[in-house]
Amino acid sequence: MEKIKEILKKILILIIIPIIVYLIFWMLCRARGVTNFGVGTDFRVIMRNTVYTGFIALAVSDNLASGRFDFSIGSTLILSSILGTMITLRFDLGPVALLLLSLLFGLLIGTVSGLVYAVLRLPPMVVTLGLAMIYEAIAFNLTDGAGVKLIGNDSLLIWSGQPYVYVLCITIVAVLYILLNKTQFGFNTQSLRSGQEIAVNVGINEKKNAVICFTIGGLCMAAAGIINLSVLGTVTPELGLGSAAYIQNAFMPMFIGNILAKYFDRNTGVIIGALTQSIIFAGIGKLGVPSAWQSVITGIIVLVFFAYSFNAYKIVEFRILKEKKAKARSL
Amino acid sequence: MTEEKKSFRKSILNKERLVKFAPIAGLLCVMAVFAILTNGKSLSKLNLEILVNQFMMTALAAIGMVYCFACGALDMSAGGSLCLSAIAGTLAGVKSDSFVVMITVTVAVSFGIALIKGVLAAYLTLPVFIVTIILGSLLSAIGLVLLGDETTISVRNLVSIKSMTVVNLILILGFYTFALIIFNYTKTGKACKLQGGNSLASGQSGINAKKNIIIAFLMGGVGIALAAIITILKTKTVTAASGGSIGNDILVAIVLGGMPLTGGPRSKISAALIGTATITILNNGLSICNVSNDMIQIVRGIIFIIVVFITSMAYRTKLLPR
Repeated sequence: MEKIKEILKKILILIIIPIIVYLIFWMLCRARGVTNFGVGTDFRVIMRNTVYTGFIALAVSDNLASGRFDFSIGSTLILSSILGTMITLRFDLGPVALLLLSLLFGLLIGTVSGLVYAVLRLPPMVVTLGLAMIYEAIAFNLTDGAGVKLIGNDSLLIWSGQPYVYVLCITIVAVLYILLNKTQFGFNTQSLRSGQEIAVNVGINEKKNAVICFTIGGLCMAAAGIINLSVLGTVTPELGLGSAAYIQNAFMPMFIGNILAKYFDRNTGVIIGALTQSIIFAGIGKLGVPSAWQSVITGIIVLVFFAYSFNAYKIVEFRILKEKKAKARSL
Repeated sequence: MTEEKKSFRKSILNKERLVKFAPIAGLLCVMAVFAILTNGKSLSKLNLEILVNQFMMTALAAIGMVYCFACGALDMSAGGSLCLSAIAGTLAGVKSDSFVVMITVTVAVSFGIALIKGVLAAYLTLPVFIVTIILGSLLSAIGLVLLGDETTISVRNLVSIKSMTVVNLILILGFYTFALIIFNYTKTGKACKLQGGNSLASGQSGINAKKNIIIAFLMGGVGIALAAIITILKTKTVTAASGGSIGNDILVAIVLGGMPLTGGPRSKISAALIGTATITILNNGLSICNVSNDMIQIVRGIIFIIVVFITSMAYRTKLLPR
């Protein structure tokens, strides 16, 4: 009975943030006469964006939690989608092949990034910055700058629709949950995150662990790329490190994931964070806020979340200090 | 004699020395290679003028950023800061029809943004790298709001400078000299380096970390302000894309110039100039050789990784760096 109560409490904590945010925007929209917020097509768009930004946030947080910032995630998304699409079109394959090929290329690109980092032993930001330039240029070169276009080829563009997007999300989150919580790799990752030197000294192979983390990041970005491709019907390569902009979608889900990590698996918390962000973005759009102001408002919200997640401990410390002072005065 | 020869060889091949001179050697090597490949075209008067124009914006911003990097604060919001400063300055200039107002507002906005960044980093103890990525896009978005329905602002009637060469030389030499003196010969510069090296030890030695971080960001703000002014004077127009990818260019240039990412006592102001010059000459030389943009980027990426690998050779640790 206690265990069931504990689980229900954790589930409630997990879903309370997106529910509150949804209700706030629902009331604001109703007050402005907007009745289609968060229902029907709008709800499907929110869920699709949740999965898309959730995958990006998972890819970033996978390495960032270990102190490694990966600049190459955007270029990995673009290159894996382009390679997967090119081979699918070349051999006239179906949507499942498109998905599997893109995921495979994502895994390979992630592995390459991890190997370069582990072998050269350079700061991850430097390595991934250099690799991002190379991946971007390869994607540009392969398609002569035109990218790949699947517009009109609806049979291949199913992965952003229901129920495929949910199947993809549940599968990948389940794989990550098992990997990070039920395997030796997961325990090693947690150890390295908590104390790098001690973990290495007790025999954990840090290089192997880092390569696997980068590989997982590549997988998540490839999955995000497939959803992006299915929505837009096209993937356009970038030059000049323009792909680094993909990282910006990841921060709010990551911060919320960090807050919820105390109660539940971090990856699930990141998906809940992505859901919260998607609701906020959809709500701001539905309220008729001009697009330039939307970016400002969402930027401020992300900054506030960020400031809170890094300074929440100060509020607790202040309360404890206040209690101690009150106790001392009463004596 | 044999012992002398051995010790002479040892000193030449000394890793530390190799690492210290690698960025300069890289720059000279790039200059020589492209001088040969382009039959001297890369060193012609016209091309040198083009090089200086391409070099200026990034170099000015990078010199200021060295202070932030030296403290261990990686500021990724240079693009957004430059964009907002330039837009605010040109809007003020157009409204008041005054060149002086335009420059003053550009500088003031740049300083204001730098102060906000410094306060966020110092008092809210936020990881600078991530907060500046968020701020970068926020600042660009604010710039877009200020632009409103306009896509560009033209200041051709305010700016009457025909040749930028003299302005470029004065700004780059003046700012570099100023920054070099402060960085190497004053308490402020030394405090920045010490804080980047070991923030705990520097705090225990009496260095005010909060004040230091704010000063570092203000120096970065000076660089951004000068880069914004150069952008306005050179192009005489400002758009939402002004500043563009300068943040990433600065990071590549500074690291290529031999600056360690974690800052500390090994930080050098010269890294900004050497790195920016190397990247600019590389881009320019490859363009003259008719290499496509994507291949230029692949070459940049590979050279970037190789140069950082060489310059960090002396400082490898058993653990993977983070």
